[in-house]
Amino acid sequence: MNAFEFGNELWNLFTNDETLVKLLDVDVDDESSYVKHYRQEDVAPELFNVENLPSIAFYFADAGSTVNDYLNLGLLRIDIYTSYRDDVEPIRKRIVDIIHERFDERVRAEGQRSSGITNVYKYRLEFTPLIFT
Amino acid sequence: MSNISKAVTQWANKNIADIKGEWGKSTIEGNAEINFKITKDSPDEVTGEFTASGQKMWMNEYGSGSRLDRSNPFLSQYTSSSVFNRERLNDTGFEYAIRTRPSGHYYQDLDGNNHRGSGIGMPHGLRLESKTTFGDMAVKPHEPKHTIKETLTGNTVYNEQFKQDLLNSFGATIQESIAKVVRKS
Repeated sequence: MNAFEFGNELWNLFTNDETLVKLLDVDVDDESSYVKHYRQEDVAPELFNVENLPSIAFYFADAGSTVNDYLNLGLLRIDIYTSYRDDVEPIRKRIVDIIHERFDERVRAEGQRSSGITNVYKYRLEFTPLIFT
Repeated sequence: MSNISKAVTQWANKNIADIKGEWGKSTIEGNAEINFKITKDSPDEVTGEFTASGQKMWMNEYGSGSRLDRSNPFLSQYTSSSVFNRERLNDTGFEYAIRTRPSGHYYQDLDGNNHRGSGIGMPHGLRLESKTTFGDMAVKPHEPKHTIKETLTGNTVYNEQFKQDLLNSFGATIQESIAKVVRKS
């Protein structure tokens, strides 16, 4: 899979996972609710809508070369935005489980980040899956 | 350039790109610059230096108005400078909140651009952040994001990879040094 196919696969996995859908408070009867809680790009704080919490943003931020011409080491970031710190843990766990089950990938780095928005907690996970060049 | 310098510069450039990307998302007005250079590259020591400047950089790092980061090590330098409106310190309960300035009073922002005070609410000015007073015209304070600090010191793939690259380049440097000694003898 290349970076875009990988991103689309993540979208399918995340939006079809009942546990994650519930944790993100998605209104399953409203299609527009999905794009509010799942973002496939980095989110600018000033454009962020606090009413859409909790939400996740997942995107490839970078890719570095490997010894194999056909494969790059992607830098996949998954940012979790919540109102409270405690809300992050179950969302983080479900995301990590899904990625581990489907791609056999582990978290390479993680930690809290400043969201730039009052009362919005941001937590970042970083994975480094191999992606096709 | 030594192997270690190359590894350090590569790490710095990746993080600079990340920092600039983060700044790019912000709607804060003004300049934001960050650069890195190797200042010493000798066999026993490699040092480098980051320099950052611009109003947008400062506001992203340490916030603005009532959201100013009070732990900013440069705060007293800022509040005692000519760019700072000292009336902002006199509003009990709303310290540092952005206020109007005297009419005809010229002042500079952190990028050195000249602005003229509105003169509204003199002699002490009005709190520009107040939505009750200014409605949609109210100025929004910014939360500090500490982008530089978080990017350079946080637990990230780039920073973890850097440790590995540093070890590899250190090993390559030793290997080259030994080869030189062997060739000479």
